[in-house]
Amino acid sequence: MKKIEKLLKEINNERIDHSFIRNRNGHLSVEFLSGRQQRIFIDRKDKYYKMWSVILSNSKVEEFGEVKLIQNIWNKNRQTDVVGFCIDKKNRLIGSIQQLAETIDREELIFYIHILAKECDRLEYLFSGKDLN
Amino acid sequence: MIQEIGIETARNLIDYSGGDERLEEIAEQQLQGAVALHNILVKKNFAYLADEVGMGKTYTALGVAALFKHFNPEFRILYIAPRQNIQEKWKKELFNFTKKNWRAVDNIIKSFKDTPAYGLSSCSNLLEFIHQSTININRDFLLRLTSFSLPLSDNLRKKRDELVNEINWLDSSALNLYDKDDFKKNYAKVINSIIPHFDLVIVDESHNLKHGLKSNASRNQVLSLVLGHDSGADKRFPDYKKKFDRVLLLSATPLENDYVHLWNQVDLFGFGESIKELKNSESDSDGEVKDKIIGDFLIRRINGLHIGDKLYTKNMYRREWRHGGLTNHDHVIELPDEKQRMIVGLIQKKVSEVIGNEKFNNSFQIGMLSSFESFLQTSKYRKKSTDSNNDNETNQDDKSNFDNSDQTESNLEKEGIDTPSIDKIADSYYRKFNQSLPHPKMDQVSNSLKKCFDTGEKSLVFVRRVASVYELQEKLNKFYDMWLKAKLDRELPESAKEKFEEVYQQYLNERKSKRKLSFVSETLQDDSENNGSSKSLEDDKGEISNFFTWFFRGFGPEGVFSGGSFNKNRLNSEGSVYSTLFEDNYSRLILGEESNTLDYIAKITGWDSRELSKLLRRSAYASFKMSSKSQKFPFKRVYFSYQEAIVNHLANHCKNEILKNKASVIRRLRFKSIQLNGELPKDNFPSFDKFIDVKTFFTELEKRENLTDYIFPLINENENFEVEFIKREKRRELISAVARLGHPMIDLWLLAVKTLKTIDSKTQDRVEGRYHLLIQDYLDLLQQQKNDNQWNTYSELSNVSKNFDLIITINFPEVKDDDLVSLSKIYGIALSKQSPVRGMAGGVNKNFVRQFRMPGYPLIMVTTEVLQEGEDLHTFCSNIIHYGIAWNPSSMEQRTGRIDRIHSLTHRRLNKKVSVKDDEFIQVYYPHLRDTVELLQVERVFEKMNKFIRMMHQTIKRENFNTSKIDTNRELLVSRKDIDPITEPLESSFPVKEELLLRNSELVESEHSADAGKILKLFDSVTQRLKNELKLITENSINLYSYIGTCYVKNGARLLRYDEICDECRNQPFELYLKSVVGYNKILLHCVSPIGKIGYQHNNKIKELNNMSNKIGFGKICLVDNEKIKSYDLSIEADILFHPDSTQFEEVLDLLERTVVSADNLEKKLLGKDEPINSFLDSLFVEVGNEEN
Repeated sequence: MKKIEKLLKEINNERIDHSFIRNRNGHLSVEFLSGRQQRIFIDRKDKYYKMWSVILSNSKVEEFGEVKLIQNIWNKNRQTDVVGFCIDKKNRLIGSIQQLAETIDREELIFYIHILAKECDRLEYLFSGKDLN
Repeated sequence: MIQEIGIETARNLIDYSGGDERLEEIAEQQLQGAVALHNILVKKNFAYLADEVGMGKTYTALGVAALFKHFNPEFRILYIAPRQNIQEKWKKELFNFTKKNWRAVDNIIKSFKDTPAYGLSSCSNLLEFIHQSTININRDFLLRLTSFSLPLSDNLRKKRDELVNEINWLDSSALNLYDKDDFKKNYAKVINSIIPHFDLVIVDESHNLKHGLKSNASRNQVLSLVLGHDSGADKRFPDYKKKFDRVLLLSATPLENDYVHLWNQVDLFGFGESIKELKNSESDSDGEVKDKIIGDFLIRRINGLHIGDKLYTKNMYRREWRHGGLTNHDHVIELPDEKQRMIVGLIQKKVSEVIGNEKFNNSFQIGMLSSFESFLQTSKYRKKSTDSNNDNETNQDDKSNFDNSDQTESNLEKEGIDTPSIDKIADSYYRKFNQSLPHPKMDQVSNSLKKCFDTGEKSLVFVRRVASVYELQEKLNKFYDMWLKAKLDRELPESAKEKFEEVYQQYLNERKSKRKLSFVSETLQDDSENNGSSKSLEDDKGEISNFFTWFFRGFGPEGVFSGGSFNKNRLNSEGSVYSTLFEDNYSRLILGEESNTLDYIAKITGWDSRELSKLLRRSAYASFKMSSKSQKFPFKRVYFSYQEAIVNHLANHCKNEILKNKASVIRRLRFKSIQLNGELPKDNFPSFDKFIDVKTFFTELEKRENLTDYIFPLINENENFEVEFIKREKRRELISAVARLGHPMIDLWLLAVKTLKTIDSKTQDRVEGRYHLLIQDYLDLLQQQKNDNQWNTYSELSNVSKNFDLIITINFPEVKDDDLVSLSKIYGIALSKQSPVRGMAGGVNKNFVRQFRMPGYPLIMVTTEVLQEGEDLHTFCSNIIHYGIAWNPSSMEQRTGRIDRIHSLTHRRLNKKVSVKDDEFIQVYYPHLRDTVELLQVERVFEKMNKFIRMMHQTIKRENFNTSKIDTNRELLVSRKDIDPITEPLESSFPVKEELLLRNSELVESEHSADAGKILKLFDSVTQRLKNELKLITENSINLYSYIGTCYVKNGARLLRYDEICDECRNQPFELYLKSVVGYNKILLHCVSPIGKIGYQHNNKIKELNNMSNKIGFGKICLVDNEKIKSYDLSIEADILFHPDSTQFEEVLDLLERTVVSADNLEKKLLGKDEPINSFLDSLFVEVGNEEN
């Protein structure tokens, strides 16, 4: 994780397309011009980085009905670049991106974080009408 | 930060001429317009393009949009077209602009596919807009203005429930069902909360918004609230806000007679304050100040034709007939006798009494008195209810007898205030004299139009009263019948005349009983039913409209050799020798005419003639079996089988390289490769001799030089054969469809009857033996007609051929070079169901419109306002008749503008001339009776038209006519004066300002623009390396940016390498392709690997699949709902950024491996299958094709 920690330090307070990436303790926060925010987490698994963000909690997922929600988000996956949506092992609706750790660079990392935050924030608004994360 | 750009920068990006030198002048105007508007929008956030009708405003606006996007990839645009047909047109133009006018693949505007690199969602209503916004906001959206109307008749509860279903968290109490106005506003605010923010809104035909927020129509208010007008701020909707930054308005007629119309449009989008001086229509003295304000945001250019050394602006090459007559220019309609004068006098008295009634206060709505159009009973023809998924396009009150009835709110006026009185008189007259009350204007118009049956000239007739569409058509159909009957009486053989008389009588009887009913189904139809996409020729059962549609279409009457039966049973029946009449003979095209074709083929391919004969028969049989399971061997199919066999043989064995190349091209474009399967031909499979030298109309036409040059030019041997062959096939199929389905069919049938000498169906089999005779007779007739200099079969076929490129571009953009087999079907559908006269009301029948854009039927199109905007009707028509007058100059201009556009018949006719005669101009008729109150409305409209011209061009004079009502007491006392058209050359008051073009600014390149060449080179090198390192089966490539193939998965964990043996491994298809990320300056390498289908009934597997996917931990599962077969198509997809400087082969390999292995694991565990690529190939090719999806 050393490489990414270094990169994350560099991109703290980076501005991209009317939003800021802030490096918080243990996670990133992307702040949009509208005032909305989205939290992004990054894990290392084998040779990959996984960037992910929670959209709906497990209780909200249950409210919607899991199967209906899965159909909806898989349909949306077809229309969405880079970001994938799924119900994770903890039964939360999350958005995620996985990329090779070895080759990722600063510019790519900013792009992945921004597009992940943007897509997840939009879906969160559409499903809840609120800014939950 | 969005910046202004210079014209040279724009020139590097856009080529408006598309490489056509003839378009360079207009292309420069469009480029200047795009740059100027772009720069106005950067500075002011609102701009108006008011170029004259037909100058390509759509393309100019698309240029503006593309320039913004190119330099700002995240730039998002909302397009609003007036209605469905224009919305579809915008979509088409957007694809055309991207392909033909945007110069380079930059992956921001133009993708590797030559299609828009950004997404576009075209929505048929606001709910769909919401739905699409929830699926993907990173696109542009294309809406229609009618979607904002939300008719009161709609079920509000249903509308609310639909919305709640889309937005789960929406509090339904926010949408109060008991107050409809409140509901509409809140509905709009909810939509505003969901939709994305747009950088630019482009509104086409924005004069529709000229009454602004004060309009009676709630549509304007709903639109402004959806976009977040300040006036809609509301605590109940905390997310309500302005959802756009800039607006570009488009209309050739931005105002009627008052600058306040401009202010209203701009204010609707919240920019009114910055041009508030235009709001006050009273202050007329400051015209120059207003012009200056307008000139800061509005651009208008005018079109002109150079004739000799003089420039003719539109007003000069349009010859207006303002005195009402139709036969002599500047003459009035003369009433033919005392009786008609008395009738007109009586009607006028009644109309004056009605208008004088205190209810109407001596006034009436322009164009909305029934008596101006007809004295017949005004019954209502209402549009059938539209598809519930689409918005109601007409949005008219049910009680209206007129189009565009939102001109007034009064139901009485909508019905026509004189309607009841006129109906009474008409009824009384009919009871007394047993005939309909004559209407001098209608009689004169139909009388003057009937000459088109001799000349073939087209006319476009606009009416206001819906019932007039029927009445005018009826009169014209009767004139047509008289014309056709006279022609047939003259040309039929004596022996056939008695039977023909009986048939004609039968037609008259049937017509009497069925005509009116059939009219309603023919004319008053929905758009949804009339796109012509699914109807085949076989569906044409004929119509009872006129003798042509009854006798020459469908099956025709029973027991008679009719035009219809000749077409169905001979020309269109595979078993008849006539089925090849309009085909080509490809072997002859390759080889030329040889006395012994078989020996010649044997010689040039090095085969023995006897062996060759056997081979061709076997090949032809194999070809036949590939295309048919029939045990019979119909003539046309066998003919094509032999054609295919010969072409195939020549392509494989010909020693002459030129002929071999020709055969290869024809085989690739027309046939499939024949696979001999060892099966011997059945004994009764016809022998070679009958089919090798079949003569067709085209093979014989080519022998007559003085005809073929004009109808079917020979292939130019100096040009590329493939290009020439494609053009020849397109032309042949088009000529064939025209000859079989339109007016020329009459002559062909007459020739067939002349050889039979009867029209009795029992004898029609005899016609089979006269095939060659008929071809020669037909060619002789064409030869004779060529010298007649009249409208006839020759003139129609040669006119189609002469204007072939124009017809294909305008009418058949869907025709592709690589699918010649579909040509016959495309043309067949487009040209089926022809009629000499057509009517249009309630909706647009696109097929009839397409036919009107070609030579031949329909010659006359009678229409309400439905064709007023968006449809091009200019290619072969230069006469327009304003039978029912619109009340405002913009509608009049829009109507005339339908036939006055770039490449119009008039433009083509006049552009290279040195001098011109009056009758070569566009003829614009305003038929009216001078001694009636109709004169008042016509004069009012003329005055307003003149005023509009003065306001938009240099010298401006102001008079105030901003009401659609006429006060008859006042107007009748004013001395009559002729309102002549303005005929001096026009000069726009609002040209492009030179300083907006930034001519001296430096060339700027987008920092976002990707280097397409480098990207494709890298893609090619990584895919080559994949082939070297992995065990792969590669499918035929269809382009440079995609790669489709099959990998092999070993132990469910990795891909098989090139040198490994495939032992118990599974196969897994995949597709890799390049795409741009909308809103970012990035290229992705996208990988798709299909899993398979699961039926709706296996819904439980969805959760299982999600859990499995979590365990595997890579790629996203994607689903396409395939409603037709009630199943979901599932796939795994993933992407990586693709950059020529930083992407490494290992990343691509990793992407492919993980995607394919994940998909294969899920397929195995979930479906227990190992499907080969064939099951998915079609959808994989569609994904990387360049169709409009």
